[in-house]
Amino acid sequence: MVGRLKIEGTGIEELLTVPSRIFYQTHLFPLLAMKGVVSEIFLTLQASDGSRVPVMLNGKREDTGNGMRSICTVSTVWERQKYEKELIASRQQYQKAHEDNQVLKELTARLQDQQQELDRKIVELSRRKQEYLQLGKVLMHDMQEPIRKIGFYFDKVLSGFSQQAGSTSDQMLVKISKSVARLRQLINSAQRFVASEDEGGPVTLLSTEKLIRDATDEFITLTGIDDFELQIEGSVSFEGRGPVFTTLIFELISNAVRFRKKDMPLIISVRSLIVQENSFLLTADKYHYTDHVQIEFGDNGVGFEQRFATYIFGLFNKLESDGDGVGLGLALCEQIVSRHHGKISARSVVGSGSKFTIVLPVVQPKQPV
Amino acid sequence: MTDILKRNNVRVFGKGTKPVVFAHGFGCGQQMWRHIWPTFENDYLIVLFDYVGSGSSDVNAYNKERYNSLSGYAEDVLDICAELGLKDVIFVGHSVSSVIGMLASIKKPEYFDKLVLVGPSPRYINDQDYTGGFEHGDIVELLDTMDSNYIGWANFLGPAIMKNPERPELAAELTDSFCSTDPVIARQFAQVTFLSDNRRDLRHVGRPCLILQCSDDIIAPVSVGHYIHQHLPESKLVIMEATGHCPHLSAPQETISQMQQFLAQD
Repeated sequence: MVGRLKIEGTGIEELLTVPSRIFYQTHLFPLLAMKGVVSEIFLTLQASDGSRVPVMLNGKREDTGNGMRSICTVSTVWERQKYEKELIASRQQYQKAHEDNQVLKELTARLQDQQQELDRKIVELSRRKQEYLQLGKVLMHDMQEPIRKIGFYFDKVLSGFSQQAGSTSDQMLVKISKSVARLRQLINSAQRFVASEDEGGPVTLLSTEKLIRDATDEFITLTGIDDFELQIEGSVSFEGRGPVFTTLIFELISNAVRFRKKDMPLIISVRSLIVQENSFLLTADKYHYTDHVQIEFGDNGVGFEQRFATYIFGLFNKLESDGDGVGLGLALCEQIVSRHHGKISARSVVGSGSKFTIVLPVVQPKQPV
Repeated sequence: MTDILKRNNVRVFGKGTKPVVFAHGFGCGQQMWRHIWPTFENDYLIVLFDYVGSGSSDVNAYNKERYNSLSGYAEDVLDICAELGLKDVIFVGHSVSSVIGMLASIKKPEYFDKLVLVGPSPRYINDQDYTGGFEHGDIVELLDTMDSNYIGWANFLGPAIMKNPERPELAAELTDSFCSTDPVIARQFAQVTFLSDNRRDLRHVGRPCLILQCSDDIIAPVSVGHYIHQHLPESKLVIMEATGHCPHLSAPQETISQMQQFLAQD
């Protein structure tokens, strides 16, 4: 055993092997400090010659009136340890046999894949259903209203013409032409929304920074608007369909520009990082954490009320402050992110800006053959 | 619907409105904080909880896929924040909970105001240019030590607990002993904790952090404290006089006064 002289004045940890020190700090000391007593704790002492001594420790901790004092006794457990090692070994053998069952493992893996696939299918189906419901709403309501107006004013104009031509019929004609334009815009948007489901090309490796720069260039070329500052932090490579991701960033930029503050320079900041996220989106109690890219797209615009955070992603849903918009951009964004098995969410404070957060897998799941 | 408050054994009390969430580390439960929270209960809203699988949480809610990653533990924290409608939380995490809190704050920054990291380490195992303090073999042997310490209880008490649901004190005895009723869960928590590598996440933490680094802490050596301080964008490093890995138990006064100073800053 260890000589008395040698251990006097040393900390208890120094007598232990490294793993036993961890156990001491995470289990034994908290237990001793909270309960004042520990019993039958297995530890390994490290002798001065490097050899290891398995021991059982009992101890108590008390207030001496002059600070705390712990009194511990240890006794060697060579034999007992052998017996316990056999127990542990047999348990581990059982586990090993279980794990070595290759057939079972493969079946489990396949089941796992199928569950993942099923999860994706369910998400896709429920998304499709939502989209069809949205389209139904568009056809039922949004498109009907301009048509109804056209009919209404046209009737009026016609009956007006039969009496006499005048300025009121001119105004009505203007309204008719506005409604026609609006109808055309809505139909075009609906078409674009439905069509984008199938476009986008093959999945390739993309870089967030390049996407942001490309989309910004495209935006400036197309609109001529370039009086905003772009701040890019970090860049992450991930898999996706390039063209639609450029569209995604483009739509977010035009959204930020549309809702900018009139009295302040617009600053758009985009941060990309990698986080671990559950790749199961819907199935309860299924977890598989994998690398995901998190893109945070922020602006210093007018913002919106947080209660609209989900509403704004719906097709043709738009906020009152959005005069000219159709309500397509964010719905497109949502569609693109969903198609890549990701999520998009928004947080906003009225008067200080909005932040859109996109989280999607770095590696896209292989398409089933 | 999962009852989050029951699942995580959440306790909410205190006279203030600003929430302080205390998160325990590996090897124990919320009772680790009992010397700390009394100082804050008059001015803050105190939130205590146990991770699923630890303390008096609902062990039946343990999911070995979810808790095979610290991100799964971070979801426990986010679930609690969402359930209680918390915001601008002061998160106080011990040991592995420091990392869990950082991960949660990266995913949902809107919940968090400041983080207090007690004895944090982003990686325990040494790497090329990084000293975590341990070799892989040390961790393997730690798992063996845990097995040895659990086997007595597991074999002796395990069947007793299963056969005597009407005698919760048997389960309580085990819980009191190691703050975890299940050796398989404890083993997985140890693996996830000590084999994790979260160095790349540090630079993404967007909230002010206080690093409470004990002197002479074998689990999180001082060099690790400096490493975290260098890589966290906004952090303050305090090397405490307290030794060991549990200053909230061994030196509550020093822990409290460092926290108070940090919370007073704006």
